[in-house]
Amino acid sequence: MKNIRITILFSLLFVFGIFAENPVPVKTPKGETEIVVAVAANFKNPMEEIRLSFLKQNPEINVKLIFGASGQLTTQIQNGAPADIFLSADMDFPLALYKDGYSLQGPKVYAVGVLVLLSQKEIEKTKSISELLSSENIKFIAIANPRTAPYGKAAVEALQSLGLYEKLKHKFVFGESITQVNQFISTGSADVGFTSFSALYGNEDNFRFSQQVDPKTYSTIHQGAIVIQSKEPKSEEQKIAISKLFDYLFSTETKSILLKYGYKIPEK
Amino acid sequence: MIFSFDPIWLTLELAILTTIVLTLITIPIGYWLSFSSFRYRFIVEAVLNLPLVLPPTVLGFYLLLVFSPNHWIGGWVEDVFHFRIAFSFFGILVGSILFSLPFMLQALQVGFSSIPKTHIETALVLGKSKFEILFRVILPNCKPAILAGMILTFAHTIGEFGVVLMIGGSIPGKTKVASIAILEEVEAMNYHAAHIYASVLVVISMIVLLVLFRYKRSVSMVLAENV
Repeated sequence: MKNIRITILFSLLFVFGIFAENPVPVKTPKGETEIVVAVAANFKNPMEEIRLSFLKQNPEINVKLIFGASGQLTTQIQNGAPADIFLSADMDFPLALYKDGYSLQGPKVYAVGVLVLLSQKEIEKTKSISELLSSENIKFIAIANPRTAPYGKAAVEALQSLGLYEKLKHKFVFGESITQVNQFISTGSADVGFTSFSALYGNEDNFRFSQQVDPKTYSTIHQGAIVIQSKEPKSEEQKIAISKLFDYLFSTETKSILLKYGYKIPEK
Repeated sequence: MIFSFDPIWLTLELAILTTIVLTLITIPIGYWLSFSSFRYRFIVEAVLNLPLVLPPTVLGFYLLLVFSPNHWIGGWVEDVFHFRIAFSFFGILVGSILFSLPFMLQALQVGFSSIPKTHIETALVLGKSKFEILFRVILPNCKPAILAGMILTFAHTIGEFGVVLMIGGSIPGKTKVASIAILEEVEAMNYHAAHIYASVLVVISMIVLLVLFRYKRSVSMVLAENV
């Protein structure tokens, strides 16, 4: 009896599962084009604002955003994820996609990231970064994985040029992306962490201490954008919509949003 | 291509320790849940089974909050032991134990409830203590259930990743287990290394499961009941 019930339950789950896997195609109102943008986690907040201001000018274009670590998004795009534009946190990932033929043009720098040291604790700002990180009160320093996260790479570079990397190695904890580093810092489980300056925006309560890392100590974080060539041919409307949004990333409206969120404007 | 056996050992260590600790703590809990007449037992049961519902990353995030020095628990541990639970092997062990607790508990309760009431009543009439009944009557009759729970816990911990990702901090040799290593290799587009880690994991787990299922036909019965 019990087995029969379980069988019925599972067949039901299975059937519904199938429906869940294949959602009914979303009906877009007439004349509306949908485009999908894959965005690096650190750029989430500014991108949401860019999307809104873009929609004001182009109400007929429906922009969908996907967020994740740049490396993860790259892997997904290589495996057929439906993205039309990819905004990475660096140049390497979009460059790799371009070389593999996922794009007709190389990446273009849409923003310059700023590396910052944040803490949830109130730390005196008088100390130098070396003094601060070496102090005994700092047990854990959160860094994004330098192999996959551009801000992690920049943090490691900065630590190396300050001659601290080997000395402080035992204090490092690694987040999978900048998002996770922000969690480590804002929960206080890590005493300080290296993250993007934009993390501070709107979260001033979570981070009582912030100090910009000297830009001379790490290579500039160029964030690159590319248009993804999909396997299925795109409609004319879609192509126009994609290039409209891509151009919008370099407009004056976007520049003011970038500055507001703690990014620098890329030099021409 | 950086391949090290550390993450594999760490995963096995975590899985084995989680299984041992869980077996020890869920036997009394499961015994109490199955045989007590406490009115609000169902509430305890619901709370203990919460990890089934919560996504592992959410469970991990809550643990990160609790383990942080700002929380009274994390702060107390830090003050008394000068030790931070987050980013330590002990921390991911606690996380894995909580995460697999419902699985072990379910398996045990299936076993406990399969014991005929008459056995227990007979033992009571013969004047055996509850303790004796547990060790002489209940547990010997529940071997397959306990084993099934252990297999589930072990397998579950091998593949566990969300909780560890949240509270581990990927420290090589301390909290960087194989599942995290695989994620990092995939994200760095080193698919080759990721495949190696994954195949080693699959082979090891397969051997463990094969051995267990080969010698314990009854285990599959309990596992089937559990589904």
